[in-house]
Amino acid sequence: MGDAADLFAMASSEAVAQFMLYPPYPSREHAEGVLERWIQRGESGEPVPWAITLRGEDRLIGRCGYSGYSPAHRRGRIAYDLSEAYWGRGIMPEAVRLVTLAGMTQLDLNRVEAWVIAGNRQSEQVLRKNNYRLEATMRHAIIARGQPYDALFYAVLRADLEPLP
Amino acid sequence: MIADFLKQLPTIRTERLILRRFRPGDAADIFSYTSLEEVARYMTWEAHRSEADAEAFIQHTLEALAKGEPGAWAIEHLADGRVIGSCGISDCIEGFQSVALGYVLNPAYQGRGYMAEAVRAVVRTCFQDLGVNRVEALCVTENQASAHVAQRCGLRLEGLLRQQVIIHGQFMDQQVWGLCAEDYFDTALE
Repeated sequence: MGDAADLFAMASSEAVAQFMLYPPYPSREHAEGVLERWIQRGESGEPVPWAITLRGEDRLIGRCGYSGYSPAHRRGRIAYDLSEAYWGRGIMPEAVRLVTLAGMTQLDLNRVEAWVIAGNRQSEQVLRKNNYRLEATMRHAIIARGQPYDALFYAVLRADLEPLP
Repeated sequence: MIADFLKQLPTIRTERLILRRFRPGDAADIFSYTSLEEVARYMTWEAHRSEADAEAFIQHTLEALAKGEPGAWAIEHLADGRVIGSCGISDCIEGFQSVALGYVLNPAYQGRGYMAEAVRAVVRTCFQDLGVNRVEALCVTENQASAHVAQRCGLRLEGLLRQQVIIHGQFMDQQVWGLCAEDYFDTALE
């Protein structure tokens, strides 16, 4: 449970939650519940996000991982967030790069997708830096906190990144 | 929300069609089109080889509906009483109040507006009775007949997803056609 305090500190921020599906975390106990569910899911083989940490500092500063996965069509969908104190340093593009490549090399994905709530320009930049392309703008495809938002549907193909490292 | 609806699967009537639950006796009608390569070509399933495949499809669909899982209406042609196709709905992503449409029609009945008539009725049911926030259809780019139906039912082309699906071993692109409740109720002049 060592990550609960850091997770709560990140996800209780209105600035972080603004473009996420979750409302700002109300309490540290909520963060503990989230972590417990992930640990259970991970043990049963379901996808769970990685914690993002800086080298040399074993503290959670963000998350990045697969929120959906279709082996039949060899595609996966990523989701990510980052503590506000670490914005603007190129951390999220680096994490997305690693997670995208892990999906292609370890899960044999051909296509990795990400949905962005319209207006989240920083998130679009993270994806564009990793060769993701905007493929569709889907009207009201996301409901967050009871409100509909347009979804910007980004994706990168294996062919866009080859040769893979 | 959608699970309870699927368990009930209300019958829908249109001018020339009735959309209803599949019945075991529909297998011969279904097989007459699901056995065709031209129908299975853009589908994720293989062409049926025998009526037993169609019977298994019916059983699978009815079992899924009983559990509130994605399923389809049989489309019955009122004039001759035959099942000429199907139209299905499924949740896109849980919690997003959004449904994806899937549809198929016997080619012998194509070109007369039946598919659009059925899908239009399903779209109306989704917005007016089920109360969804959005409906969408993903159409394999080569399948322009499918895109044409989406367009005729008021869905709008929102983009192109590259290599989105593997169909019969091949990657294929899909067009995203979508319509949200706000736009539907702005333009619904029926």
